[in-house]
Amino acid sequence: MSDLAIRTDGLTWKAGKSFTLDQVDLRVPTGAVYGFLGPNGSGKTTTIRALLGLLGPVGGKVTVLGHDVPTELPRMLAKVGYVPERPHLYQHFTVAQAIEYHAAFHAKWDANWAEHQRQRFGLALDRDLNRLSKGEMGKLMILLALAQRPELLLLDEPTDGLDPVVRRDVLSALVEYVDERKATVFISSHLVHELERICDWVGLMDMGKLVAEMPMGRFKAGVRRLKIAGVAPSPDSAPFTFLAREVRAPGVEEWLVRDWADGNEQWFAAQGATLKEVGALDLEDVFVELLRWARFDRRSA
Amino acid sequence: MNGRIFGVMLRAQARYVAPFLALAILIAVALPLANLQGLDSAAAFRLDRAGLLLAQSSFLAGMYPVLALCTGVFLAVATWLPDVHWRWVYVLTLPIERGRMAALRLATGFTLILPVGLVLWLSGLLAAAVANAPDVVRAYPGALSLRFILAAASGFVVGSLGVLAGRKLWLVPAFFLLLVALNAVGVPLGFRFADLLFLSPLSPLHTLAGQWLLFDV
Repeated sequence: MSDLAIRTDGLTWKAGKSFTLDQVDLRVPTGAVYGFLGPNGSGKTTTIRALLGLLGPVGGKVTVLGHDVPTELPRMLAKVGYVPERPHLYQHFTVAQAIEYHAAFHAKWDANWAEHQRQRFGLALDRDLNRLSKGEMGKLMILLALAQRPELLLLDEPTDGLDPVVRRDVLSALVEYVDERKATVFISSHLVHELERICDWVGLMDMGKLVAEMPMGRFKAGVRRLKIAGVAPSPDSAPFTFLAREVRAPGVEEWLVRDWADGNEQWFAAQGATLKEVGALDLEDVFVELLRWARFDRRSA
Repeated sequence: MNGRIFGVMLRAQARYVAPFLALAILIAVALPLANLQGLDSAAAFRLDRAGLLLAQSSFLAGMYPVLALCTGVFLAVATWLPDVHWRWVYVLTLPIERGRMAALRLATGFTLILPVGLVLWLSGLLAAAVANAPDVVRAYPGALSLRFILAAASGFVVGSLGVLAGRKLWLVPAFFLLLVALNAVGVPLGFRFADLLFLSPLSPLHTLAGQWLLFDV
């Protein structure tokens, strides 16, 4: 088995004049729960559609579970469970028909598990799909994706718009499955705190570009906001990665840095500056700050 | 696996189009029997029974291709419309080659045409039995229903191509407008095209232009 469940090299796609996926190089380790973050319209859904071969010809190379996309699509899709952002199932089906239809296409379909999960989710077999609530539809889609026993789950905002109870049900079904099967999960969301609880890798998209990709630990732990008093030193020789600075008041600057480690305070003393405060950021702050930095960086370039 | 997929697709499709199929079957029952209209009173009015049967048959002949075309095109639209509505996302993320999926869809469509053709044949047999036609007149329920099935299948293919063409479908009326315009300036390409469309044995619409008579000499 490959070390990478998903690999894209220079993935590029243009939709008219307004939107472009620009040289996206994804590396999703096998067995990871990979959170794909980004603001609305940043290219998350488009990237997922490219992984599934739904976009037609794209630039660059896409490999999913060792299969080339799009030349080996059916073999790849047999191992991938997909939950799209918006419901995609035929609305004239009942729950029973949707399950029967989906099962027929998947050789590894686990009927017992599907039935158990259906009862647990409280989905009545004779309910028409066009009469399901948003939460029930979300449950059905995750049920279909998991009962096919996939090696990789591609989840595009699977809990978006769901109430907290349903969201918890859906996420716990997902976590149980991943725990049992050691499957890889690629989950996109703009709900940062939701991903913080379940992901061990993070990729950050903005304006069609992958602006950061790292283990969650590094994403959360290494980013700090520093408050510096006096004459701020040049960050060129710093033992951490300098991201951004902002002058708060005369003689007071705030820095955003990455790869912060204990003992780095001494570097400021050696530079003759006073480090007043080292602030940890929660994931949402990191997300916002990194986005801001990426955009600033692009504007400067 | 293919058989299972076909079975599931057929059941799903049959449920979806059941009301329309029921209507088509009802019309398929009624059309051959409508040939018998007026036969009871033919003797009373000293009309020729054979002539009456042939006249009724000719009068109804235009209805069969219309029913066949409507059946085929409607089934095609109903087959593909849910995918168009959901932008093909579900069907294209199922683990099956796209060509095989299209072939299975065509197969389910053709299969659903069969019951209508079968009912047309049975109704034609019944009409032929009841008509007590003179020796000069012969009934052709088998040929008529076979022609119906072929024409409906052609309608299904044409309807499918129309749906699959998506936004490019506007090219069809544009093409016809061009033919009309050419005709107006003395270039009768439209008639040649109509001949090609309906009379060429290679055209899927060829079956529509043939004989559709239940009773003939």
